[in-house]
Amino acid sequence: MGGGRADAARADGGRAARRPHLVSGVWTGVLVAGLAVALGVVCVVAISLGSVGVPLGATWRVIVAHVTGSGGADPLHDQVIWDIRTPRVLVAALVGAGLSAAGVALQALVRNPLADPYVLGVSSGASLGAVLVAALGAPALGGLGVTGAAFAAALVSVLLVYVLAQRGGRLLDSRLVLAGVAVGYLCQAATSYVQLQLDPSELQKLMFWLMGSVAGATWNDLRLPAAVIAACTLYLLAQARKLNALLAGDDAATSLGTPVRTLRITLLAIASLLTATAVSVVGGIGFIGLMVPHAARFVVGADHRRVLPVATLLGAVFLVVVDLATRTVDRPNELPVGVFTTAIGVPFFLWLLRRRTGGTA
Amino acid sequence: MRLDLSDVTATVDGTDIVTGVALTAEPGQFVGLIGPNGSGKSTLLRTVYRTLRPSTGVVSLDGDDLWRMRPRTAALRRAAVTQHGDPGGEFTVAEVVAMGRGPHQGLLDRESEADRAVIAESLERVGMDGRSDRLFATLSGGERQRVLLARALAQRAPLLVLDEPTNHLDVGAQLGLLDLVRSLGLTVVAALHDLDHAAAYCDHVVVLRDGRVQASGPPLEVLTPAFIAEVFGVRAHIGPHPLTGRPHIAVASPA
Repeated sequence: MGGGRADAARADGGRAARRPHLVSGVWTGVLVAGLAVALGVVCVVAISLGSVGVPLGATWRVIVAHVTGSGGADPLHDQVIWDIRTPRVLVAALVGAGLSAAGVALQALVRNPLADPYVLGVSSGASLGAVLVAALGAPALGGLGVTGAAFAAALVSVLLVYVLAQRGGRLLDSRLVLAGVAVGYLCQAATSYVQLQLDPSELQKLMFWLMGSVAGATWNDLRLPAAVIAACTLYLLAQARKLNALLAGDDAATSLGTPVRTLRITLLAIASLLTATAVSVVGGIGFIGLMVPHAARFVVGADHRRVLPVATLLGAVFLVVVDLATRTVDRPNELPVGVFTTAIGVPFFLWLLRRRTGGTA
Repeated sequence: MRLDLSDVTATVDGTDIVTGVALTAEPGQFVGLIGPNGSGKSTLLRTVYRTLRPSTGVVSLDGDDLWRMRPRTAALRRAAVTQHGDPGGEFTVAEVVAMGRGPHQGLLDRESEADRAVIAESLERVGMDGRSDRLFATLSGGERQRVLLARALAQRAPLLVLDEPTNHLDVGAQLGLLDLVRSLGLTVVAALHDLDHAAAYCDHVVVLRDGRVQASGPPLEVLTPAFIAEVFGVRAHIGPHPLTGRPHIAVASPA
């Protein structure tokens, strides 16, 4: 390289913005720490607010009493806080975090910014499972409840997508997306058909689930799904460097030392398990898994070493706040979470989209 | 690092794209892989990236079977600048080059001082130092290619594989990139389109045609006008370059 060329190149570099992302360098650490603190704060606030208001101080004492195993909290507060609201808020945080991490992983896996955790037909599969239970009754499906049937059907639809998309064990991004969309439509059509056969009162109960809700979470229903979602999310958080490599294409990724074939299958399995678990617990909460990863990218750039932690925490904060809104905006009525994630998220997302300058999608 | 391909056959969807290829790159040699479009150059290189397992034959590095290594071990010994190897999106130059440190890092390792030093040094070697915060997408084609080369250099692997590295570059950037690669002192295997580049930069060339080795040897022994006419279907003339005095291959459409 001639010296003149290099000098010219450097002079040109001076014209460009010095900091390409809104947040970079040490500020990323500050952002992650800030989001973690924010998550703690919104969780406590969300637990204290509701149809029965409990002061923040009392809320904090109940949580501390349970976590440390000491007693002495007001029994009424204790029941509202610990048995009803805490599980609900924790589910919201976990599902928000998990769907965001799964969205990041799947967008990298299929190299398509329009991908989300539901791109592989998980959500439509789960809905079909849920309406089938309502239509046929639990005994016909081997005694599975709505949650179990939704989970099983979600996994079946993902397996179907995988079988359709692979060729000799190799996954192709475009086929994965197309197979996911096709299976999704198939399940939606079947769901609509079964819904028409349903009693209106049965349908009413299902609607809430179909639109997404974290209401009704209890400690007992929650332990296993919460553990699965948490474990899958932690796994995805550790894959940042490999996700970066995947974006460079299979040839570049393998020469960078990434076991592309096994990585794709593992990512697909983990993201699907996470999404199926989330959907079976809270229904189809859309938007988060698509938009939160992009919101994180707008702020910290494309590098997954920063996108993953930021998106995961942001998703958790977002869903806790949205759940709080669903039960406080129109008290005493509760609104479906899915409606709110979209109503709050879309304007925010569009604002981000418009204020961003330069670069590519 | 010595690269050996012996009797390599690579099959895509049931069709043999390359058949029984032998290729050796001695330590420090610059080996050019040339041949018309569709002759199997990129497919052959994919057996070295480990994206396509040879259906028969062995790819080995210093005698060790490349396909029996762990992916990370292979990446410590062989780096590549592939076609379409850019990650797209809003990666900065430093983030792209940092990917080359992956094979040196454990699952939970963060980027160390040492990693950052290697990234900075790699950027300096390709003349892109001081631009580490630029967005990759805003660079020119020549700059992007140099950044992807820096990513491969950050792997610190003794073998460098390049697939048509001068594609889409202007003439100055083409020569600059090849001069740079030549100056690195690594073992290099590069698929090249320009026969004159092959003659000027390679110690050894392997010519593929229809997936088979048509000829191999020192460039000026292999690339005779008659041979070029047979393989590429063009007229060729070899004479001293008017500026450098080196042998120069000029080509023209068939008469």
